[in-house]
Amino acid sequence: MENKGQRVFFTMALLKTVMVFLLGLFASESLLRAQNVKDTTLLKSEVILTNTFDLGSALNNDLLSRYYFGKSIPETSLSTNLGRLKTANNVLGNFWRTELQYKHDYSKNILGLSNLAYTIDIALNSYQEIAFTKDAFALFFYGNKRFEGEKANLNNLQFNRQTFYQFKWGLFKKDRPHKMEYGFKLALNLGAFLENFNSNSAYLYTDTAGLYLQLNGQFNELMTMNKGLGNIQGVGAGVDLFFQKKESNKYCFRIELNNFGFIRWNKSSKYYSRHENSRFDGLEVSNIFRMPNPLITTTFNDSLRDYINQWSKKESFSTMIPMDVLIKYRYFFKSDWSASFLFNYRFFSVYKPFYQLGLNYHHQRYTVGLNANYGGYSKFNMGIDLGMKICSKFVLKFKSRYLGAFMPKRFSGIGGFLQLNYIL
Amino acid sequence: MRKLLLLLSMIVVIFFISCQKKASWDRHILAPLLNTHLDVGDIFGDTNVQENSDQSWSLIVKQNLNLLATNKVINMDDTISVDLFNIPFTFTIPPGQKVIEKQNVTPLNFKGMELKMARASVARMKFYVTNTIKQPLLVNYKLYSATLNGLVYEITTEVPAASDTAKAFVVKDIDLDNYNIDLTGPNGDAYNTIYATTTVWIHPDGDTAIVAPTDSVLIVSTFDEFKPAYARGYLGEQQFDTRGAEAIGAFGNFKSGSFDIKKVKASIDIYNFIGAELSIGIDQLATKRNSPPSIVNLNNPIVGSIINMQRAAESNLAEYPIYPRHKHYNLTNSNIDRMIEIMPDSLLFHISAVMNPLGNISAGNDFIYFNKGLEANIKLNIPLDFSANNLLIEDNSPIHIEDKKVKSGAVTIYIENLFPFSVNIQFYLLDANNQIVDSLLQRNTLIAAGQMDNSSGVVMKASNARLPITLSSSLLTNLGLAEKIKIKARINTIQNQSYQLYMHYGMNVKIVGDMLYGE
Repeated sequence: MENKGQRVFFTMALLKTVMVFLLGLFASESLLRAQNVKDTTLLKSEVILTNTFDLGSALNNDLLSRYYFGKSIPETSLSTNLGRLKTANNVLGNFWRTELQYKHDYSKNILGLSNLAYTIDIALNSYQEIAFTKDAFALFFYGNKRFEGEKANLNNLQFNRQTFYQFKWGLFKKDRPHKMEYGFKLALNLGAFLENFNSNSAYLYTDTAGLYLQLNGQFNELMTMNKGLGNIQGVGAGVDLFFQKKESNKYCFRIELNNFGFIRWNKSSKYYSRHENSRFDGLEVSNIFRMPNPLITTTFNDSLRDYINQWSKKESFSTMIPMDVLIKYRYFFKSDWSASFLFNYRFFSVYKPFYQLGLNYHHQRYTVGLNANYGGYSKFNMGIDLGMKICSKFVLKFKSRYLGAFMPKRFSGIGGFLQLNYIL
Repeated sequence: MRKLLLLLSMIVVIFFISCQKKASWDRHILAPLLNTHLDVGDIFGDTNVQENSDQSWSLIVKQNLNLLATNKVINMDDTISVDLFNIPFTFTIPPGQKVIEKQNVTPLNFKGMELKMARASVARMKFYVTNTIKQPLLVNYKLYSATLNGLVYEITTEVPAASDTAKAFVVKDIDLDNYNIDLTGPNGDAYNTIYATTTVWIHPDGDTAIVAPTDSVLIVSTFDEFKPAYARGYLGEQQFDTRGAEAIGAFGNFKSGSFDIKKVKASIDIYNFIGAELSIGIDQLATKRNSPPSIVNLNNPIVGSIINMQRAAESNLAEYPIYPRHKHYNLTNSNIDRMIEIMPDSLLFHISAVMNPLGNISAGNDFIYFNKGLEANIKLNIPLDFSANNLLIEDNSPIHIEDKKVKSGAVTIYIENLFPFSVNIQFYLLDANNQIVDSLLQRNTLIAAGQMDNSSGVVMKASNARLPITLSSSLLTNLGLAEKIKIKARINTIQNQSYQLYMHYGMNVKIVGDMLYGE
């Protein structure tokens, strides 16, 4: 069920991205009139629905789609991807966030204080991240034959899968004389599930003649008892901070710290940590005249579950949630043209430092931009940035950094940011 | 080893945990599949070999023969007592008043035995009461002979009133497991006698009963099941004739050829666990091979002679309650080597015995624990000074390969032979009808004997063999269809000489797969 759900989700996200992209490219000029959408500063109270989906990898989209949709994977696809990988720390990540937010504008006094605004958010965050070595990829897709007489590097394999809900309340202050804005949000984090694995100093050695295999390394795993979205298996707290300095039609500088927080998972959760140095010489048969039948009576998944259960401790533990630091700078070199720079670093995640340079045209009714980016879950890519005022009440924004999705053999990643603002 | 498989699978699962419908691609796997070691214990059976102080092996064959089945010793009737109560005239009896009380002293027939005491591991009695009186009854049965922890067995039961047309009856199951049953009667001077009382009342909740001469109360008690655990008294003068066969597991894998075993030490120990004298005749002791059929009788003075065994004694220790009587006979100067060389499947025996051949000389103090009777332990210690001439070891193992994902490749069998004999080995695939459909090796492959140190006569260096098996499409198909794999190994010692087998002798077998595996 879970796999089917993921497949459906992946398909829907792909369709959604394509539709919004086409809409952005071919929207009628007649729709894009009257109001200026280039100014993102909060002016009025509004309700915002945001959906972010980001699936990226060091692997190209051709391989990912073949793998996810259960198709035949040709050797050329494997060799192309092997060539794209670095020795270590290649990532495959999938981030999904759906958020409903109410923003109360600055125009009204709060508790007798002016220039204050507040927000109330409810959000669902889901991360599925893998970091792997080039050797792990080769081992998985090519087998271990190519490592005869060698160690396959399995160091620092990471797998992080977690989903949590957030309820946030934020308070912002606008310092009009200094053109500054700053604030914070407090978050209540409700953990649905977690599965976190990593290996340290790990390798697999294949004997030259295949007489034995040897696996060595430290392996750790944290996991909650249930994996469904409907469970609340952990509770925590967090805080967001931001600061912005902006001068209209000149520049905007903004720095954000999002999701500095943790979740304390309940006592039914399991913790596994072992150093393994195991040599495999073949299935042990004590007497050749008494072969067991069948040779292996349980499936690997059953055995793995039993093994982890055997060595796991049931206890409560805390984990930090992925925390983003964003630095944004936009410079308006004409009244309707701007250049932007974005840097995003995500702590407690395999997400790599993300850099983006963009160029935007700002019309009264719409904004169109192009960007070049590098990092995150993917490598180099191109993206678009669209915004349009649909009517006096609605603003639609769409961003995607994965234009390369349409060239699946060269690029990697799929996803987008879709936001609908309803102005009250 | 299993850990590594598990951890590898963990990595695979974790690498792409969200694998949806199975994508397909080819992997080239090089990995050990199976690892096994063949030693002397595997050939003869681990429980049949023993390491000697000089690191040599001896084949130990221990056969325990139960020469006298103790369940034949005691015989008894099922019915314990039948009591019919009736009154020869008519009178009225108010509720709660006793109708009758009767003492039952019942002799049991143990057919020649005069027992004073018995105990059963399982004793199930049935207690039947039939009533023709038209009022309900209360019946009490107190079996004074049966005590458990000092308490006498007692049962009280209600019997419904008879109707105008039918008798009323009650059946009760009585559990007398582990009760001590005193068979000496009410005065303690009898034998085979149990003592009980039966009391009948008109039920206190009933009405006044009018009892006529035609009315009766019938009480029958019988043993449904009786498994004796212990008996004491005079066990009688009894004759027994026992024939039996005990399987020998040490040679089960040997199919043909011959081997020569020297310096066999053999003995037989006879134990009498019964508290009565026994006079025993061993009429036959032989080894038997089923195929090809062959029987070798023991040629030793013990066969045909009379062995008189004194009675065992009781120890009063709960854990070891018997001091058995024991006689030891050395069989080394016999044809025991020939009995072994046929690679027997079983040991045959024919015993005749007389219990208490001199009559009741213990004044009724015989005893028997029914889990122990007359036993013989035959022990063979065979130093494995071993010579094999075309000796064929053969065995079938079930095989069931569902995995059809191997596309091509090869399997290599690596063998290190540290035995002083060469082995010609082949693996056959059998179908459901045990017919050979294919063989793994292209031809029978000779694995040379280990390299012997000439000065010590001990193999110190293994010979190595590498047997490649190409996984052709036809072999892969046949592997998928096969139900069993037959392993045939033909053994010849170097120059057909005898060699002592040592602890370090053995054969390491490892099977390595180098396969293209379609995911």
